[in-house]
Amino acid sequence: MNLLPDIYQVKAIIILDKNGNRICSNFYDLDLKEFKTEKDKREFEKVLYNKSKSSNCELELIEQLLVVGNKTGDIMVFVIGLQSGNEIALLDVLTTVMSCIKKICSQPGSLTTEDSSNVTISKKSLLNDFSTLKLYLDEIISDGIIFELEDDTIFSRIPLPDQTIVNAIEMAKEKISYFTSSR
Amino acid sequence: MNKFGEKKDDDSESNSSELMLINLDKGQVIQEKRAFNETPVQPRKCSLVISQFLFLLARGDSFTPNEATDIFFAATKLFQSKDIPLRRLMYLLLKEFSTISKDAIIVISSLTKDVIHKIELYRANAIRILCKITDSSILPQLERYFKQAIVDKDPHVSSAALVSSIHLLKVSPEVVKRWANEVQESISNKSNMVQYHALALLHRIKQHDRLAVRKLVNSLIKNSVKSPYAQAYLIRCAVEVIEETHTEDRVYFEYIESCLRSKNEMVAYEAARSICSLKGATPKEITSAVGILQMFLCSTKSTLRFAAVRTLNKLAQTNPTAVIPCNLDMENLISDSNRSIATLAITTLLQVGNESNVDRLIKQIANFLGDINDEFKIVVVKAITNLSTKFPKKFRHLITFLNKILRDEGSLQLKQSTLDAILYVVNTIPDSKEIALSELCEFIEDCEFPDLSVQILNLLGQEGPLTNTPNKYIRYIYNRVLLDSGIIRAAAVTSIAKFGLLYEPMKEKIMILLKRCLLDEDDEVRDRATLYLSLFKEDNKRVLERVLIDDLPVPTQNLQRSLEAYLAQDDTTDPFDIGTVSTVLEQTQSPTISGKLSQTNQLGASSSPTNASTPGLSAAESVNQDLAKLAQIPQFATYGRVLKSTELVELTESESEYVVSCVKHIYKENIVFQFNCTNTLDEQRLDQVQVKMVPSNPKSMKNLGFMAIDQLKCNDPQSCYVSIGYNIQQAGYPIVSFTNTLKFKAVDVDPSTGEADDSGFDDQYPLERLEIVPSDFIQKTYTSNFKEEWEKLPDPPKPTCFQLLGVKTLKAATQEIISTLGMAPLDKTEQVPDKSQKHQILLSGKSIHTGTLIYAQARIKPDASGSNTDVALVVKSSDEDLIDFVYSAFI
Repeated sequence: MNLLPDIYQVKAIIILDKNGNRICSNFYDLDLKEFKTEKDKREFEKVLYNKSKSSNCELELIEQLLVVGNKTGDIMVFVIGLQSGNEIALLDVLTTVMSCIKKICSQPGSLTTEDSSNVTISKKSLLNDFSTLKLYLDEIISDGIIFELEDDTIFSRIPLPDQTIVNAIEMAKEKISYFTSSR
Repeated sequence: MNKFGEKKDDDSESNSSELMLINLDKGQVIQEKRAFNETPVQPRKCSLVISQFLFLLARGDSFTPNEATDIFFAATKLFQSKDIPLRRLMYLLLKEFSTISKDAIIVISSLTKDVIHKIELYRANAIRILCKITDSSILPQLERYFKQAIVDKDPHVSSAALVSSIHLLKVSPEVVKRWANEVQESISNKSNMVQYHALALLHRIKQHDRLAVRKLVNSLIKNSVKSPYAQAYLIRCAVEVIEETHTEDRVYFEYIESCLRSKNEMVAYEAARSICSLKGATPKEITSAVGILQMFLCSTKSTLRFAAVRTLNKLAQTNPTAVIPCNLDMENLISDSNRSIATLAITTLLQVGNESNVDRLIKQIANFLGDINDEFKIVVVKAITNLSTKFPKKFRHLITFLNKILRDEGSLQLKQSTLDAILYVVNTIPDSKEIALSELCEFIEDCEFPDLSVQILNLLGQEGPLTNTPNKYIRYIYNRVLLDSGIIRAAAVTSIAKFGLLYEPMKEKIMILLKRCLLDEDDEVRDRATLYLSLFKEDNKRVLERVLIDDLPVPTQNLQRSLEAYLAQDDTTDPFDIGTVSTVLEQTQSPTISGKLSQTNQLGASSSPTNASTPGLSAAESVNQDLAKLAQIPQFATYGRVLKSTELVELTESESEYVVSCVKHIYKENIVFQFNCTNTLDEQRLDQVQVKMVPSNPKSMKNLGFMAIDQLKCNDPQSCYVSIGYNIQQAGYPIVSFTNTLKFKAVDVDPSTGEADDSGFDDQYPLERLEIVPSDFIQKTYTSNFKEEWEKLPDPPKPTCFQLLGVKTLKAATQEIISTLGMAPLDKTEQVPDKSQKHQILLSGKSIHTGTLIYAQARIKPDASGSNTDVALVVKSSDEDLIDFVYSAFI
């Protein structure tokens, strides 16, 4: 038996909306049979969603995998590891992911209240700032290895654009008209 | 294209930017990438395009290598931009596309510029991409950048370099190993994460050198590593050292125990679960670990409660008493809002429970059964089954409970485990038979899984006729013939026939029922009915018994494999002999009634798929490979055909430096010993490897020669051979044992370069003894009528009596006798009924040389002291030499 302490602790981070549709899913171990193809991944998300529909989705065991999750606002966040792993380490990862999500949703211009103590977590805000979400996740996990969990350190490693976000939204709006007209 | 298209209707509040992403078109975004080419670069515009690419990837859109290459190359234009946020996004985009794009190597020069850039963010991210696009041929040129980055003062850069190096270990371990000094230096970095990554990398670099790992762990546990993640990793390293070296040194245990007091919950938990899993932990250590877990049980965080109860559940399997202090806390968890926690709490309580509270617990589980998923139900089923051994009086509750699970909705896997559990209970508690059978009869009335129906029909046929009221089952079984599909009807017909055979008064009625099946539309059903009916008419009990009752003497998988091998060979003039089929069941996958529960694949047991599958390939296949190799060796070609190859015997501990095991190949007048040798030291190569065998009785055989292994490199198993000659007519059977030594010339090798040092030295390594035993010359045979054959042979003067020293249980004694004699146990005498005081084993076999049959009868019982077993053995055969040889194995 391979006793080598496992450093590839995180197998996936999955963020779904309240209907079980993917917002952002990072799969780190494509050798796992659950994550081999896009179809497997979608299937796994479905299983995950169905299991957590009725519960508060804090914990699930799915085959050989261990899932810690959190339901807030209109999204669900899951951190997935192996059953042989340390669930509290996964919980730490989840906590960091959650505070990054909060940070994104509380940014000025993200169309939600600016009161930091009472942030509305919403799929809308996450999609609005999708690239920042991807960047945060990139700083938390590197191919399954926990890279950094200190939220302030992570925030400092992702520089925000100088231009105000409002400008970006203007820009986005231009794009929308472009897309809708082209359709 | 828009997979998410339907969703927008539900989200009435969804704003336009979300829609924009959802309806994103890949082709259009690829066009948009021209923004990267504009000068001056417009950061806002480019960021938006990158963001759209990231979304496409996240959505699961696939890019062809050509598309990916185009995007990748376009993005490299952004190296010109000085806008830091845009650069950060560019790095992410490059990283995501580096694995799909072709020729990603082209950006190496841009990246190496960034690796030494003054901005930390550039350095860290550039190195993370570098590790993705290098291969082992380029890495040596980049070495200095990595080394420099590893010792970078900035934690971001250092962590990035260390983690990248861990990834690179998969690509080019030799190069990464050369950075050990730099990594060592970074362990003292103040950053928690750098410490963790450095420790993990260093440990991985040294992982093949056990002494170095031990040194590393020793030095770090004294220096009190501060980073929690490094501590947790170090705990696992300490566990590894303890398990691999079986060290007596308590320093590792002390370190783990000290971590129990950590303020960090993750570290404390890692320490607690490590102690619970270690065999060598003292009661005191376990008590403190359980104390920590007990605190977690009352935590407000459900993950902590789950972690604690999961660990306690595992501990309860091996050490139930240690868990008792937590009983009260676990009782509270039964009502936990999280069903997973509640299930684990209950199953743990069941394991440590006593007779008085079992009823209450079972009732409590039944109440929330509807809320938990199948995996947990299986756990509950297993826990319940274990109870049947502990509290046999409670069988009524157990069967009712199991039956409820069987009837409820559920997967096949769940139902199979439940049925196995019921079969187990029926087997262990005979009183439960009637209630279980009638419950199962009800169940097959509307069972949706044919597999289960067939198993149940089989059980009904086996057990039903022996109950007080066989009549009542027939109706249920015959209903299946009327209502179900072919495979079930066939099983039902067989089951009915068994009633006719085993319960005489029903024979006439059974024949009427069988007659009705003669016109069935399914071939199999008709065939079975016709066969049984004609046998009943002839009143041919003996054949009926063979057809209906006698099990196949060998496991079906083995028979199938042997038949396939037989058909695959060119020469099929010799008829297939069932005696050559191995009776060793290689994997207990079949739903056999007993023995299933010994595999405690309980929840939480880390069942990694890799280590479960490897031993599966064993026996038959490896023997075939061995024989193929043997056939190619000219020295042995004159020996003729291999009459028998024995099972593998280990001659060393499996963890020693050199691992050796032996297979004996028996020829007509020769024995070839095949020694499978593995060298586990990567700094050594062994030349001219051979095994020197010193026989205890040199006269009975002559040494013919050996074949050495030229070079035995690390982890490349090879075989060397020794052959001896014997002659039964002249010298009798070779009753002999051997003292064995592995002899070789050890040559030092530099593990990193593979270069060998010229000067080797002769060395040797002691191996376990080997014996020639009767099983080497006897093949299993099966007879359905032992008594008759036994009576035919002349009686020996009197049984030979002896003791098996140190064999305490009847089961162990039975095992030993069967394996020493190599004969086939008959009439299920290999199974010792529980609690029996004495036992009789019936065996049959034949000589591999002459085919002469040999039978044996062994009566065993424990001696007065209880620590040895008395055996009275009678062996009958027409071959006197063979009889003497068999006795010689014990006296």
